[in-house]
Amino acid sequence: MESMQGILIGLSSAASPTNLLFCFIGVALGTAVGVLPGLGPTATISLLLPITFKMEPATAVIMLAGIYYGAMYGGSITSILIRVPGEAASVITCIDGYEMARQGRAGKALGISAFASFIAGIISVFGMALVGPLLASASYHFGPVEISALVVLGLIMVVMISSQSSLRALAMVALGLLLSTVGQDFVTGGERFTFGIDTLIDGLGVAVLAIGLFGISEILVLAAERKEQRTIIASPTNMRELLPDRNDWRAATGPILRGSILGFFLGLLPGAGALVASFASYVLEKKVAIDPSRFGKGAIEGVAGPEAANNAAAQSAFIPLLSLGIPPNAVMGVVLGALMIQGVAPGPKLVTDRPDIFWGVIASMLFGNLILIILNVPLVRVFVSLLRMPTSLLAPIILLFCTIGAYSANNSMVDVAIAMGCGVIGYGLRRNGFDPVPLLIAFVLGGILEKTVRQALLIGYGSPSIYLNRPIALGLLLAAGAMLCFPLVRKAINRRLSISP
Amino acid sequence: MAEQVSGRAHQVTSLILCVIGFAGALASWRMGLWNSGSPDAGLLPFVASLLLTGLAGSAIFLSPPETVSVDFNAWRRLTGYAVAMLLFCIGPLLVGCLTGFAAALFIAMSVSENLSLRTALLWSMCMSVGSVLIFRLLLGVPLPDPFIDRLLGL
Repeated sequence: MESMQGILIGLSSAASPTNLLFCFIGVALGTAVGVLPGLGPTATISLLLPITFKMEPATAVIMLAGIYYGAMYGGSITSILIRVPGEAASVITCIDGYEMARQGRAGKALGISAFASFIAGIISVFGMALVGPLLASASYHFGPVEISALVVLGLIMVVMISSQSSLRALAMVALGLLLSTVGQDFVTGGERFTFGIDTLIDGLGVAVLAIGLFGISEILVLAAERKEQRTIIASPTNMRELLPDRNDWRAATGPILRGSILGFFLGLLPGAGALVASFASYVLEKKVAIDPSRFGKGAIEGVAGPEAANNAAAQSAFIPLLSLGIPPNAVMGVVLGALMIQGVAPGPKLVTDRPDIFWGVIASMLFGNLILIILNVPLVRVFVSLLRMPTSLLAPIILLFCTIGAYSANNSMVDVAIAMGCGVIGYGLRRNGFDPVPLLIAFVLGGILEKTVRQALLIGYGSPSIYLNRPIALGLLLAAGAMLCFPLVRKAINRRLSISP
Repeated sequence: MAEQVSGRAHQVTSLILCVIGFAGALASWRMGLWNSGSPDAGLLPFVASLLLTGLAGSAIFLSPPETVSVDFNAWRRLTGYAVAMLLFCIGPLLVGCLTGFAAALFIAMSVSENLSLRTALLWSMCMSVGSVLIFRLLLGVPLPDPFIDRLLGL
């Protein structure tokens, strides 16, 4: 009943002309960046952050969400047509999607990918509507002590997401926390690490940092590791080519449903996300298939399942962000930054305090998925034409947009210089095995952590033992400790097993 | 072609992070860690700096990560982009955004991307004019440009 009421609030918010327009812009832009090489959803969302300052919080998140799940579909277009995943989550689609294209079934692969994403998106929305209120009921037990413990758990989970070593990821978390303290201290008013630069008194901007770490560093990576342009092997010429026939539907229905459910639950887990969901779905489909040897040779199930799973996971990833305030990946980290700039603190109280945002974003996904399919089925040729845009033109243009994006954050050229500096640092870190994702998420969560820890210690009269007296906080900290120790314990067990005969 | 980055570059990065952490710890110690029974301004940066020092220091001894080698052409592209980035930072302040952006784009396109001078000039001018039209005149982003300001009587 609560969910129904929430969905109605959300529908009325999402169906407003402004929100529909920005949902459309987000989905179209997301599909385009999914197709374009080099510019992922994280960089795009970072670039657009300054534009969202003037928007309503719900409108901003609706547009940013559209970019994220739009990019998931856009990434599959390149996977199918040129065997280059536009997005990490579309890697698995390369296997059977590209094979289908080579066999002259590119249209069917693109079509089933669009329909699978659509169905998964709808299933995911209903799943979110069921899970949301459950988390809302827990919100009354969360004070500064619990929130600070939750942030610590979130930071440890961020380390688990990282593709690089845990030690380096933890170092990036520490650097992110340190950078989050730049600026005026909110209690004493004293300046910290400002080096006499006025712009730094308000702290480093999340938009500027994200533009540098993801946008500019990506251009430098593209410059250093230039790959040759791939040729498009086939492109659908008419609508009928994109529509799967009865046999295709019969083969794909099961994988779509299984992929949607699997993707939804994996998306809820911080660290798992769309990439793991698509791999898990592929493995599952191969396991349940009557003839697994068809996989890798153009099996439609190998496209339908993973595509459904990655879209479902991309959407359900909003649940940990909106209801717990924990971003499960870099994109959600930037979205969290966008919300905080707007003065909205995502977390357990968001569902009850700002239902228009929580339910509005969920309901907008219904419209977004509809727009995605309306946009992608007839306009797939337009998006395919983006693949012909050479990187030699694209990279300088992205750099120009990064410059304008960084400038427009505070209308300051100092921010442009900071973004460029962050870009060079981000490139250096990436080349030497340091993932900037934990850095950005720790930077965004650092402010919340400092504020809540100081409040918690004030409540506990300066004694950290308050964390031991609160069962939820203690549980969260123990979980964080266990997560941190788990890889070490596993390593020790493996070493012992390899030594023992 | 993936190969292991030279151990020294990876170790130098870790060492720089370690030094940043150490300097951060010293600076935050001076800010004060504890005051009147509650945390002071320096507590979180001190803890973060200590963590950074320890973790980055330990990362020096990790095996180098796998990465793609940077050849001569890549260095040329990177150098071109470095100059373009510098121009993006100072160009708009010196000669205005229209000329500054065009110059930066021209360097990126001709030096880094090896486009012909004519193509690079044409694209850089088009993109510069287009971006100023869209962002400054349409969206109201006050991109600095003394020439346009004079033209508009501002």
